Order: sequence, then structure tokens, then C-alpha cells
Amino acid sequence: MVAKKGLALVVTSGKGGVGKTTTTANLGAALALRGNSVVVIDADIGLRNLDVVLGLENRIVYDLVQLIEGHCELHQAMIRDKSAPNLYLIPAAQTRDKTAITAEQLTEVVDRLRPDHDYVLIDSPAGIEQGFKNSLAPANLAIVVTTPEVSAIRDADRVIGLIEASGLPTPRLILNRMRASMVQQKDMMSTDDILTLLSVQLVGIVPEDESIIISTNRGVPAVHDPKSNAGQAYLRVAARIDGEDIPFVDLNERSGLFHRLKKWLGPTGSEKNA
Amino acid sequence: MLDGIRRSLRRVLALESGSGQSAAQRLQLVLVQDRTTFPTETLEALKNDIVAAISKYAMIDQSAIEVEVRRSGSSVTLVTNIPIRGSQRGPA
Ligand SMILES: Nc1ncnc2c1ncn2[C@@H]1O[C@H](COP(=O)(O)OP(=O)(O)OP(=O)(O)O)[C@@H](O)[C@H]1O
Ligand SMILES: [Mg+2]
Repeated sequence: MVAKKGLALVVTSGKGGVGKTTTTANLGAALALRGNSVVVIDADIGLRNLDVVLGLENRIVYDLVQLIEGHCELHQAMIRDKSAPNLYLIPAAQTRDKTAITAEQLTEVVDRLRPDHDYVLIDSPAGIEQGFKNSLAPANLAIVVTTPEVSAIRDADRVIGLIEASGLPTPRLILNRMRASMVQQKDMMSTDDILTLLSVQLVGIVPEDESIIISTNRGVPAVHDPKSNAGQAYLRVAARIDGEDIPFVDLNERSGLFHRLKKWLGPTGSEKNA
Repeated sequence: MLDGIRRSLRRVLALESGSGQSAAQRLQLVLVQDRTTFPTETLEALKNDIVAAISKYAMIDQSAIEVEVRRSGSSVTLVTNIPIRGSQRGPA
């Protein structure tokens, strides 16, 4: 048997609603599709969501808080995913709050999972309070999700500072809900703008994509849909996390007037893949 | 439609700047501020350490010390004002 990597990644953002849960579900499924054994933990206690995004809400018997309080065994709190092999969910408790667990308790759960799994992904709650600190504690690496908006980026910067202060390496960034057409119109900050502001390394650019809504409606992550651009983007994120060197696809290189105009004008020499 | 094309062209040719540019410029200033904002405890601790360090070499009036973070545009300076009452007379 091959030794497991046992790496814990926390998915966090500062600002709420930017795509942490969507990222955790899709990245978890994508890593599992690549042959890894993966556990995703919903650490957003009281606001459980990862279960519905993965379509596993009907299979929940025990949750993270019950596990920590000793009401069940580890394997009983792990729900096997229906679409990806070797993907498991440990759901959050819905009727408790963030004070129900401590950083040490979550770390203990993650440490018990490490020997048997390649990745443990922790879906952090929004904010910089206790729930965020708990989620950070067991992690080897943080993935910060942001959207190309002023408030989301400001909060991401704050969270990046807190992550670095906690002794973790500089987090990797996922830029979610990018819109090529708006970047072309210069009505949205470009990838380069955002990376310069935050001075972190990119791990993925995920486009704004209706397929995210459709896949969430169905409870099957977008990575299972070969036609989903966002799903494909998450597959590339997984490959990068797995150590592959995958070039970044520049969203501007798709279509539209700007693209055609640029093609017609010829290369500028300053183009690069963002 | 035609308006859209005109706007695209104006922006591509940099005749007109889009809102993305204002976002990036505003964020640049906001982030500098955020990153250099010291919590009150930190500023107090910094002040105490400065007092301790200077006191090894000079007699200072602790109550007269000012420590302040000053900003102009995107540059930030830590300004301290430490009135000295006299220097120590040789090593103790
Ligand atoms: N790339 C995308 N394209 C379209 N919709 C998206 C995309 N990413 C996320 N969304 C939508 O944005 C909403 C918020 O996403 P999600 O729940 O993943 O955010 P979150 O950061 O986990 O939120 P919270 O802070 O509340 O936990 C959801 O409705 C989701 O479907
Ligand atoms: Mg969430």
C-alpha cells in the first residue's frame, strides 16, 4: 500500500459568500477523481452547507460535534460520497454554534485522519473569529478564496496576514467568479492587478459560471460535468495542488470583440498567461 | 451594441478608464492603511520597548513620549518624539 500524504488544507476567505464551500466541494471531488483519498470537513458549525453542495444531506447520521463529544466513532461520522471514489464528508452540526468545538479538538480529528488519507479539506466559516481560528489550527496550507471585488480583496488581505502570523506558509489564492468580458471592458480588476495587490501565488482562476448554480441545485459538484468551465478550472486547481505544473488559462483568451480585435492587431509581446 | 463597442475601443485605447482601475487604485491605499494599523496594545508595547531601549543610554521623561503612525498617500512612517533630560554618565 502506498503511504498517504495526510495533508490538511483549510479553505477560507474572510468575507462570506465568495465560494469557500463551492471550492471545498469541487476541489475535494477533483482531488478524489485524481486517485487521492480525501476527507472534507464542514467546520461552519451552525450553518451547515457542504452536505447539500455534495448532495449528501440525506445520509447524515452523525456530525462533527457528536464525533468530538464522543457520541460516535470516526468512521461513523464519515459519509462516503456518491459520485467520487474515496471522498468522505464529515458534516457540521446544524443546531450548535462555533463555541461547540475547540482548535485542539479539530486538530485531533484531523490528525486521526492523516495516516489513511491524502488530503483533509476544511471548509472554514466566514470571518476571523473562533470558527476561522479553529479551522486554521490543523492546516498545513491555507487556500484563500476571493472574488474580484474591493471588499472581498480587502478581507482576503486581512486573512492572509492572519494566516502568515499564525506560522503557516503564505496561502495560495483562488480567484472565483472572474468575468472575462468585464475584465476586457476594464470594469473588473484583472488577475495581475489582484495578485500585485495581495502578493500571493495563484492556484486557480474560476470563472463566473451558471453551471455552479445548476450543479449545486443537483447536489453533484461541477467537476463531474465535462462541459462546465468552472468544473474544469477546479480540476486544474486539483492538479496543481497535486504538484503538477499546469499553466493558467487566461480568461481573456476566449472570445469576444476584444479577442478578435487583438488577434487582428497581432500579438503585443506583453501578453502572458494569467 | 454600438455604444458597447465604442466603449470597449475607448478603453482598449486607454481614452477612458474603467471602474476596475479605480478599484485597484483604491484598494492599494486601503491595504497599505490596513497593513500598517497597529492595535492599541501593540502600539503601547512598542512604546514600552522604545522606552526600555533608550533608558539604557539616556534619562527620559516617560510621560512625554509620543509614538505615532503617520501616513501620506501610500507611504507610512513611524514617528516618535522622545525628549531627553540628560545622558547617562558612563557605564554603570
Ligand atoms: N464561480 C461561480 N459562479 C457562479 N456562482 C458561484 C460561483 N462560486 C460560487 N457561486 C455561488 O455563490 C454562492 C456562495 O457560494 P458558497 O456558498 O460556496 O460561498 P461561501 O464562501 O462558502 O459562503 P459562506 O461564507 O456563507 O460559507 C452560492 O450560491 C454559489 O452557488
Ligand atoms: Mg460556506
